[in-house]
Amino acid sequence: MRHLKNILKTLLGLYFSGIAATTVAQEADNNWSTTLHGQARVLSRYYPGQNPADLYRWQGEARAELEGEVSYGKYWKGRAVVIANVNPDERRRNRLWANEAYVYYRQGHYFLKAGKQTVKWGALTGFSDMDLANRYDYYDVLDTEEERLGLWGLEARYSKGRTEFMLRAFHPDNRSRLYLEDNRWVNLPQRMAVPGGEATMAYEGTASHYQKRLPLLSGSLSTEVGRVQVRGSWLYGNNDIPLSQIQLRTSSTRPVPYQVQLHFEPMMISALNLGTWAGEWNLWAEAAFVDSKRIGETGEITPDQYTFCSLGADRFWTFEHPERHLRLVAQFLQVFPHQSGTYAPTEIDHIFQTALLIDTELQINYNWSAALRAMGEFRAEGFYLEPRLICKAWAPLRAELSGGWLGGSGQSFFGHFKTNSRIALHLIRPIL
Amino acid sequence: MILAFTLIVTLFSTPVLPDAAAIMEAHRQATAVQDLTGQLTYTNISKSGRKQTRTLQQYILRTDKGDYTYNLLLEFTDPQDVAGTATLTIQQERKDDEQWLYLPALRMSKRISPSKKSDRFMGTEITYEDLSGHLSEPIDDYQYTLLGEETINGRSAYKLEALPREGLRTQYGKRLLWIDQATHLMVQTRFYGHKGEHLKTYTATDIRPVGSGGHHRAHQIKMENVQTGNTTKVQYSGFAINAGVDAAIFSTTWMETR
Repeated sequence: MRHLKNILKTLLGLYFSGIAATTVAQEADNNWSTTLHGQARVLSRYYPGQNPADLYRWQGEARAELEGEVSYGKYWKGRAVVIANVNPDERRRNRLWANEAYVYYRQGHYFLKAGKQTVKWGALTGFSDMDLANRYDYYDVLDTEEERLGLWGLEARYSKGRTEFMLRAFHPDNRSRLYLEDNRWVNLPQRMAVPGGEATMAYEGTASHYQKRLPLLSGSLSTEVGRVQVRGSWLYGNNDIPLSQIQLRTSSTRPVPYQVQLHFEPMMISALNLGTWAGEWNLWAEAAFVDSKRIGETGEITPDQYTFCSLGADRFWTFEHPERHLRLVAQFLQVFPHQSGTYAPTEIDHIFQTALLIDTELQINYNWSAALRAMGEFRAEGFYLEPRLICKAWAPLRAELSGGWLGGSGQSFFGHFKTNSRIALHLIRPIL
Repeated sequence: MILAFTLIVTLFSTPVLPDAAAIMEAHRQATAVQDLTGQLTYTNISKSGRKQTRTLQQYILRTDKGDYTYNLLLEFTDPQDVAGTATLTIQQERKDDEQWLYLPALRMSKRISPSKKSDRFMGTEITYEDLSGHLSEPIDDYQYTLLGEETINGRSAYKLEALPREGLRTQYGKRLLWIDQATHLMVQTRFYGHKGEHLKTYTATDIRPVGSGGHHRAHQIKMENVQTGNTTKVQYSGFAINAGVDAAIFSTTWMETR
């Protein structure tokens, strides 16, 4: 009975306690413990346009995230993350939901986790092709780090020494959250060619299709051979990003109504990655075979197979100035398609074909850091630069001012969406 | 006659100081543990007064190799932008330590290039060599000379000089050590470079018993870098010594599934 009360107390605390909630309660029998903490975020994005009046276009929202943990004894732990999102200009972003809610059991070499959990499928210091299956809220296509969505499923691990075997099975509904209407990243068709000229078109919603009996399955085996870390991974399930097709409802009415058919097609990824070091450099590489689908040149869904290779290095420098340090991650990516044809700039799974990614951060002193994320896509000729200035002078408040500059050829993702270049201010503060 | 009596009384009442080797062995025994857990909060303070504070949970387990090497797991718990980051170090006698890093943003742990002994530990003024010596003084690597007794922060201490034995690769040319006479813990250390320059001063205070096994620990330490003016202050809490730590937690799986 007392345990039931503890569970109820924790759940009530998680969902309703808000900013004024207490942080830690330790029960008398020492078997149960609960912790609760959270943070508030405010994000404002400004999109400078060619028209000076566009400078004042902004997109802002606030988020509160509460995270609670319940432990029972040595082996059991439960965790829940509840997120409240408020966006004055975008009703679709006004949400309160439990993004994670799971329990896990750990004893000796065994680990089992069940419930709703966010998953990052890739295991690489840089971008891994296994990450193509990660499920996000794509309100913004570039800022996805805080937008990972939970998925119901199971994770089991067995580890012994330096070898680990992992199996995951998740619910088939791996669909990312998409915003097709009034979205800077989506251009819904407005007009179509008809005999004798053009006709206007009217969007009438979407229909989603995915294989409802196909769980998202994954397995990996990792070990160390000498000073080389080796990991083989495999994943099969529905893609989180759909292929879209326009389906006209009728052709006689004007404007012509249409529905967007979203096909979340099955995909399989097999990857092998290696990691080691030389001197003070950490080195890593991954080769992945991807068996997926895409929209062919004639509009039909066709196989899309390619090999994705990447080489990367990272290093951390400290300096004589005791507050200063520099972190650098560099990655080169090369995709080898198994069939001819070029990828459209709007195919998000194909942003990178021959690309160089740089991620670096210089801590100038304890209060200030400067960072740069840079991506250059050489085959489609596009680039993205994201300089950031991070201030912790008013800790625990963290303020981050960043720019996001997309550019290059219209055949590349970055050039195609160059009007989405932005300036952003991000404020984060712990609230518990 | 009176002079002779005084001399005899003085001779017999002068305490005989233990030799340096015995003091250092007592120190090693006082610091040696089978396992240790606890929380620590460190604050780096720059010469100009800027501060950086981090809180960690530490797990330490002596390896079963029969020497004084340890497995060390540190997990950041605060502030939130680094919470969840963890490092695992497997110390190796006479070899580079093995190290892994877990970054929550990547959700993966990776083997990283071993830190040099002179690298600063987590941006503090404490180097990996200092940390290793803090866990277990490398007695065989140094030649110790007892210089006398002094009082440090109200505690009677033996003052010793530690000179590295020939061939030892160390960032220090000399250390002056003050060992507490009551607990045999280090209460102060002065570190000198190979040219004799004073580099840093370590001070340990708030020494209290921990648990019922007769162990004592300093609950506050400070490392002042005399060259740069930077200081690191560490506050310990929740010590548990030899209470049993599951060996399975010193693994990448454990770091990834926290």
